[in-house]
Amino acid sequence: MRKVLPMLVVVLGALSLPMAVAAQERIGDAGGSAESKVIPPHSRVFITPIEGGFDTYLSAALVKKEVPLTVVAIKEKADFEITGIAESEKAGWAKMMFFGSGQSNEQASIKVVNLKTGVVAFAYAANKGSATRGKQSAAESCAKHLKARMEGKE
Amino acid sequence: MTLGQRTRIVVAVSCGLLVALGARAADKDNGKTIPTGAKVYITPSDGFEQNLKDALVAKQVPLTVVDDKAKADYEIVSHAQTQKAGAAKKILMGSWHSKEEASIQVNDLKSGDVVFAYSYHADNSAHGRKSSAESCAKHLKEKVK
Repeated sequence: MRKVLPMLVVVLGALSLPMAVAAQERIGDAGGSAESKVIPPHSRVFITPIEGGFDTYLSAALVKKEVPLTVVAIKEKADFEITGIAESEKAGWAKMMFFGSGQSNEQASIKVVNLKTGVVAFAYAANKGSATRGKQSAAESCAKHLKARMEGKE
Repeated sequence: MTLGQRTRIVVAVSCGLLVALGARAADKDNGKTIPTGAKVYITPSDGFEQNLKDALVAKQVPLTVVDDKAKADYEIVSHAQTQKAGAAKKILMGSWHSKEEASIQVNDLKSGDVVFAYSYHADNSAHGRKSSAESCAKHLKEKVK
């Protein structure tokens, strides 16, 4: 009995190891492995046209915030695609009267999709109650967070 | 350590710093410039393209605007939005000026790369769309070499 017990433990251990590895792989796939969500510096990104011309604001913001990405105008040449929505709401008389603010309310959200794997590598939503510089502020907020993500700060 | 060795070390370190700074500047600029005299096509954008054409002339941007996209080297895609001052802004803020937003993007039609992008915002624009177009033109001029 004393000789059989250690052998049984070893056999059970050997059998359970591949199962544990397979389970770990399944968890990794479900959550999206960290490697698949990486946006390498100098990747080529295509910005899908967004209502209200937000795509050009985003393009300008990527330049201004020095995000290490190359924006391309042809989707076939891109590694990643940025899609998003944006909405502006101008200040009404009540906001001007009670808050003394004529600044608009800006909302925008973007997502960056890896065109090869189809994985959403980054997503961010910006909400500016009183945006000092309108769409430019929302676009620059998105760009700033994208840069932080690429640099591993987020 | 002799004086000659120190000098050599200082020169080597200085050269290294200069190379690093140069590389950073090139990286920031993406190394993309628009050659002087390049032909650009301005995509229609709710009348803002006309303001841009005028601004390119006013700011003496050395680019040739063409009406046929097939003949162009670059394409300017733009978007502009004007919000006239309402009664509330006039009474409560005491401002008659409009709020202007504009953004432009210059695409290289051969490589498909975006070589320049800029956005403008003014809460109280003195000359409306003219101001935003001229601001875009002024910054574009810096990119033309």
